[in-house]
Amino acid sequence: MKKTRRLARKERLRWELRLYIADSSPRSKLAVGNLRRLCEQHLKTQYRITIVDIVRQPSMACAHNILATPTLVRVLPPKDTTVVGTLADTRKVLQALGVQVEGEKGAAALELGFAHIGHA
Amino acid sequence: MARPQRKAAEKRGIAKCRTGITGLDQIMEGGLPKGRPTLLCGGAGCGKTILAMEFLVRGAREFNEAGVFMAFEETGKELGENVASLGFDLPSLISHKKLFVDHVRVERSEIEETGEYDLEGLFIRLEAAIRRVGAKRVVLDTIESLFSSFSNTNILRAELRRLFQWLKSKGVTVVITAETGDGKLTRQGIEEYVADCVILLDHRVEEQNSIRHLRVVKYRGTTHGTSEYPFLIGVSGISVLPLSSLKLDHEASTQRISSGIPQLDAMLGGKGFYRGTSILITGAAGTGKSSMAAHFVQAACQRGERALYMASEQSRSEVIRNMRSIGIDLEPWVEQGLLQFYANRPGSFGLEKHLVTIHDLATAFNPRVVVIDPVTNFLAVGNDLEVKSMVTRLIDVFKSRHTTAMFTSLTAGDSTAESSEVGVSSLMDAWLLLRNLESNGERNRGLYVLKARGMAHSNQIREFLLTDRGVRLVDAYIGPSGLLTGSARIAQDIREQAQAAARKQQLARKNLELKQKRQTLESQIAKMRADFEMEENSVLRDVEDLELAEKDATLVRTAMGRSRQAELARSHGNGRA
Repeated sequence: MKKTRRLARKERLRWELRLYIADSSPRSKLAVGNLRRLCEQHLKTQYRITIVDIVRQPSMACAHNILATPTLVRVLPPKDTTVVGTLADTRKVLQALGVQVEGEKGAAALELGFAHIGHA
Repeated sequence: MARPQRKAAEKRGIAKCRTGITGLDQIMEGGLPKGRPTLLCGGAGCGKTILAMEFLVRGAREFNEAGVFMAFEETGKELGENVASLGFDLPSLISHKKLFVDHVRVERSEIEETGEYDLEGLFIRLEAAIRRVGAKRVVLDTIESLFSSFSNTNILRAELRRLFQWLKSKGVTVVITAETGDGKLTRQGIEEYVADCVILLDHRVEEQNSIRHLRVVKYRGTTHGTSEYPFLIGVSGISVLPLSSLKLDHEASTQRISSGIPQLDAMLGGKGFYRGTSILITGAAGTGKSSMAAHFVQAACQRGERALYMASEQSRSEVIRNMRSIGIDLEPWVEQGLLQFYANRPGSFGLEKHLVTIHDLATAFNPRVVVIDPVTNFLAVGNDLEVKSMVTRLIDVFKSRHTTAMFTSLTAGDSTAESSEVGVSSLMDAWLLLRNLESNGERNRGLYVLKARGMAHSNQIREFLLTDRGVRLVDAYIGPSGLLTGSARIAQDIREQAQAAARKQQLARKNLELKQKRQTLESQIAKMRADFEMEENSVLRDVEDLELAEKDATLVRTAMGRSRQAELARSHGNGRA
């Protein structure tokens, strides 16, 4: 865990994430909670989350091609990556966001660590 | 005609949304189910997107109903470019708020899924788009693409079901396109959710001709045409055939029009064909079918009516030149704009295209008389069944316009079988058969009226001559060995002439005899009269003599009396003598 944080700081990574939700549905709430916990635990201060309620801002759904809710989009680092659902599986989300790719030699260890956390 | 149909549909409780697509509304008996989803399925490249887009464009243009096009496969720009060739100006419609195109990018295998989700994003986008233009019509093209993007099919199915329910509640008429596959109407079986109306499009190549077909598989709560209807994508969008009515409700005309050949008119109850009927002329090569057609066309032009001549064997100038040889000059009619030619090899494009072209010509030129010469050439493009259905539709097109149509049909060889190649004879109102009659080492043309509905017609086989002053039907000679034609007819003619001459001579002789008898009698009478006169004269003379004698006697008596009285007066004599 410490190793992760140090590595992250060293690389000076910044995570820009956007979560599209529909109103305050149970699924939306679940996704917001899951994302905040996940970022807190794994990205520490290196992230920023924007929550977009497409019910209030329909044009955003159109502009960003959102079909499903909740949808998580990684805006930074570039090349958008999308995860849909309540983000229940932390390991899957991190994998999709490409968190482990950033670790060089420690990638395997990281993955193991995440797997552990994910199941916990 | 559309109005009563629509009224009837409303009576049955199903409101229809007119598509404005040629022919489709007729098959659907008014249009798509209003306020409900319609599934439009078919293989790749069979025209689903174009049909769906035309539904919106025509809705906006003709019925002032705005539309939303949700494109899952193409961008708005691509769509615009694709349909621009059909005369659909999407950018203009979009800028006038008559249309809204939302391109839904479907990323394949880029989306990670974890936990539950819904398609609220799609709902919200649709809702926003519908509100934006006040849409009454919506197209989802092709919603099944979602299945390649999202892997949880359970969620997708539930969401699609919810989507269709939601769209119904919005009261919009929706067209959903889907690709057929695996022997099913749609790959993902979404026909389960769209139960109201299903239209199947099909595109297949038969004998090197590609033919598109449309079939209404299901239409809940209303009747509809159930056959496979050919359709094509022309310069002004989709045309579904039939182009005319599916019902036999043509009004029958009692007006008669000349065939252009007086003797033929005489065979047809003396007045020719009924207006607005279909006439079939069958015959082997060189029996004079085109010549009959030319007469028919000329007669129409002489009446000042417009005529359309469709030639699939000869070009316009060939027809004109060839007809001049029998004394029919069609050129002036062309110049006057009364006659229009449409010469085209049938093989140059598919049957549907021909049908649509003919229909367009019939609409634009509005001829009162049409000749299709020969209809059998279409067999090169389609099989018997297809050609028959095409001819049926052509007949419908013309009948509904009260246009009299003449079809010529080439029979193979010199078959005497009373059947037309295309098998359309039963559809025709009048059928003339031209035959080669071989006898005495020569070949002559014969014509007879096989049928002529609704009129008394001659049952004779008439010999048919092509002269430099057109077609002439000569009186038939029925000899002991059947119909006499050509030189046999001429020989018979001569024989009859000789007999006539003999009869004439005999008559003259008898007349002379009579005259002589009369003369003899008259001379006898004259003689008797002369004798009588002589006798009469002598008798008269005698009478006269006697009368004279009597007169003299009286005179004598009177004179004597007078003298006696004088004596008496003198002597107071005694009375009378």
